[in-house]
Amino acid sequence: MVRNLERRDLFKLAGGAAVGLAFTPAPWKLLDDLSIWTQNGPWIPKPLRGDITTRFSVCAICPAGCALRAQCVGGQPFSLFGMAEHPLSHGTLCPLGFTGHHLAYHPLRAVKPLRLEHNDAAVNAVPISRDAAIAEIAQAIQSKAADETIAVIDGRPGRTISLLYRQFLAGLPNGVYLREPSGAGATLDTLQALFEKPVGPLGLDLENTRTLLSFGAPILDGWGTPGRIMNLERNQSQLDAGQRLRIIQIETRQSRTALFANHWLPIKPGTESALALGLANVIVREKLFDEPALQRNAIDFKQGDNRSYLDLIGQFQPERVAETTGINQETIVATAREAAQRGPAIALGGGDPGGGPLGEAEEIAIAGLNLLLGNLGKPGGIVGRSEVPTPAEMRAAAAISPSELAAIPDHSIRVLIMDAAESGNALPWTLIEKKLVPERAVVVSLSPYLAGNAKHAHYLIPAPAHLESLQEIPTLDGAECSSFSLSAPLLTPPDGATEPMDFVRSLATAANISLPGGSAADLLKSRVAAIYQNGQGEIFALADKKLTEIKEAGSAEKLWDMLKGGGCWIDSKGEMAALPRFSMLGKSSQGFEKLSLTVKGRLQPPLPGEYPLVLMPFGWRGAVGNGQVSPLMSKLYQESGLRDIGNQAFINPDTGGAMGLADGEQAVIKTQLGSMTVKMRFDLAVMPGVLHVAVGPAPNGTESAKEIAENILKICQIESDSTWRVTPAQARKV
Amino acid sequence: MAGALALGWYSFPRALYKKIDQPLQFSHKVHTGESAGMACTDCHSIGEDGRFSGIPKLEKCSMCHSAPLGSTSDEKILVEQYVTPNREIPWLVYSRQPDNTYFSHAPHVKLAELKCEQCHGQHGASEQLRQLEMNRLSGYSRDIWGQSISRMRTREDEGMKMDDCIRCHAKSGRVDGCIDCHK
Repeated sequence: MVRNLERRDLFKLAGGAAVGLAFTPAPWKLLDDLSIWTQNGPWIPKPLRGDITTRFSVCAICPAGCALRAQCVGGQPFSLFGMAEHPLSHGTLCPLGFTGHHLAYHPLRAVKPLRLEHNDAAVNAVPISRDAAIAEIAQAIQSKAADETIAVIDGRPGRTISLLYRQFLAGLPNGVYLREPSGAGATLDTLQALFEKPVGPLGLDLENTRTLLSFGAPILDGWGTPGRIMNLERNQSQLDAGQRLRIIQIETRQSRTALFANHWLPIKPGTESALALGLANVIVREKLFDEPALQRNAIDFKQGDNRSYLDLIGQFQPERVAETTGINQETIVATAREAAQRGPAIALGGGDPGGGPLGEAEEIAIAGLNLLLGNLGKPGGIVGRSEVPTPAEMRAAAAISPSELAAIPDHSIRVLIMDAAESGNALPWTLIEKKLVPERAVVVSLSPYLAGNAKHAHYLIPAPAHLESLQEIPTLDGAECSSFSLSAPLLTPPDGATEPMDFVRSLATAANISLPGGSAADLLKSRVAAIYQNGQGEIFALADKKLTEIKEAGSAEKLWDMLKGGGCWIDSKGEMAALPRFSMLGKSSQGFEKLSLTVKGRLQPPLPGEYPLVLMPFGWRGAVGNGQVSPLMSKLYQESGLRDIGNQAFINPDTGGAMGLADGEQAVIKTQLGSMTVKMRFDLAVMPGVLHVAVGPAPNGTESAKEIAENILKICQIESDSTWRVTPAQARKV
Repeated sequence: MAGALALGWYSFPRALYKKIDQPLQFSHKVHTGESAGMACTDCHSIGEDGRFSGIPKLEKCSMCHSAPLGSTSDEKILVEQYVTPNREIPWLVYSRQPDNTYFSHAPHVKLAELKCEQCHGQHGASEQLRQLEMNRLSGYSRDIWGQSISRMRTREDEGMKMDDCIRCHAKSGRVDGCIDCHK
């Protein structure tokens, strides 16, 4: 009997086949294979094949300069490690350093020059040839008005290219060389500024310090060279309890340093200056300092015009400071006694990498505390070190001095060049924007990434990414001795990448400015030759993994080879010249008034009713917006909570509850500058009324430049001293 | 339904994997047997720096095979096509992992004290090299997925996917981070 096939039969057949197939591995295996197939497309970078080799270099992601041992396949690094014998980094690498070889493949990487067109909030990136971009930038330089300036902002001063920038700017009318706001070196820079005449570079002899008063410096979380701090911590266990370093962390947020310090003093936001001057009050009142020694050099310690340092700290009685800072009177007195009697002691400012510098008044107050503690030029205190030798032809660069952004008049910069190197600290675009000539300013970024402040530029001339070019690592802020290393390239840069040195040279040619000749490597070689000819210090070579006298290198060329192979030069300990006279109130005639104003803190209570909270951004070095983090790490942080990712906000549960917020939910933070959506987290360790928001890294690092949300710095208030760490804010549920 | 089941369980695996011959045959048994008397580590050693030598280079073979040792066709191919022109043998690797995966033999052999056989079975005693079954979509060897298309493992060493690594690590109490294996 023949039965005609009906439509129902076809449905049955298809249904049966579908059900049958679902009970086989075929669909599931195909899904798995297809997902793998999509990962094998021609757009995915392919690691090379070949011999497994080991190469050495130095990490240049941040200024710390940790030594790297790279395992390579076919010459391409696939895994990075520290180098245990290295005298500066002691085998330590931070998580960013461990994944540094991923950065060349970052999704936000720019591989050719771009002209960035800004339409409202959108950025349109149009490829442009390098020569055309340089011609247009040179044209902008030439068309500047008489009162406008041309500026370069350098994330890492002290390098050979820094000298080249200064030489270039010296050849221009109104050239300005800017340093990014300093982190680790802020207190030492401020101390320098208090002296009548320069005393040379300063460093910290932390290895012999017994008490460290850290005003928010992330000492245990990415300060200085991580290996130095880890080594110091490791060595503590071998010392008697009385000789060990005690870290007293003075910080509003329970940061990692606050968590692991010997003592955490949670201080009300923006009141560090009041506390530093309050501690000085106790030290002076109880005569816990060497008054004759101080009197010999201090210009304004005690004078008859009622505007002396003594008059200033007289306003900062412990009971008044306790009210301002939220730290009880007994603790203030005990901390002052400990710092004065358990020496050598150092007071250190600098601030948080995301929250930015503490401010001029705070740093002067902290520097004054150091002068009172009498730690200058003494073991365990603030010590002198020498400059890294500079070749004679580059010394002319010193003609133009570095300036801080805060010192530049608003709306004065016509052309701004932002260097490729990252300081590791945040620099809000709102602060830069304030300094630009409205409408007509031209901003050039040399960043390898179309991200962070580079997104606001008009031209992006991408530099080679990390490990793609030869970089120099000069002395890190706060280091006890001068040092110099070279970060040898392990990868080949794309054709469209431009060495910043080549860029500045081409721009100089277009602007008819003469700069020292030779390639980037030639200039670095001349600096290494200057170090060799100077004859001071020791060299660490990988061949024997020992420190030997620099003369043992044999020649400047051999020293160059040693440094390129992962070695480093370390100067001998410097001697501090006799202390010149200094002003404890700063050189400004308004120093007394400015410091007096801090008696109530930065945010004079009460806060405006509309903005009852204090917004404080925070971050960690290298992951605060401009420098990129390997997507692998940002994904790990996003999923593990090991680090707080960008725009995650922390609030005390009582404060949050009173404002109708909920843990884990989204909320909108509003300030006078705008609003931003964040993910709210309740945390008992947060001070009531305070809102801590992470600056970076971006949630998973795989978005395109268009998709990435601005970080919280966009709505942080920039104060007159170019700080942004406390902003009145409100938070409401979405 | 029966047809679909047959297709999914029988035909699909055969269609998915392409069988490829090795460039020449090689007998582990002959090399490790009485006549040659070699140990596994003579060719597959872990150096002082922890680096595993992997499949030996031609240089190693040339030490004995500069002239044919015997009259087999594979011996002739070895000498004429590879040793004499000094050309590396393009062995097909059954265990090749994706490019983003890092595997080190040293901690597995030296620290965890795993035997070679635990992962490689009796490969060291094999008389000839089996064909490589290459997945037509992903390009990886069938050894990565495991012989059983359903992933119902019949042997402890079957499969080299991330799940297999994690299962074994979990058994020995290892807690891993992403960058332990993905560099």
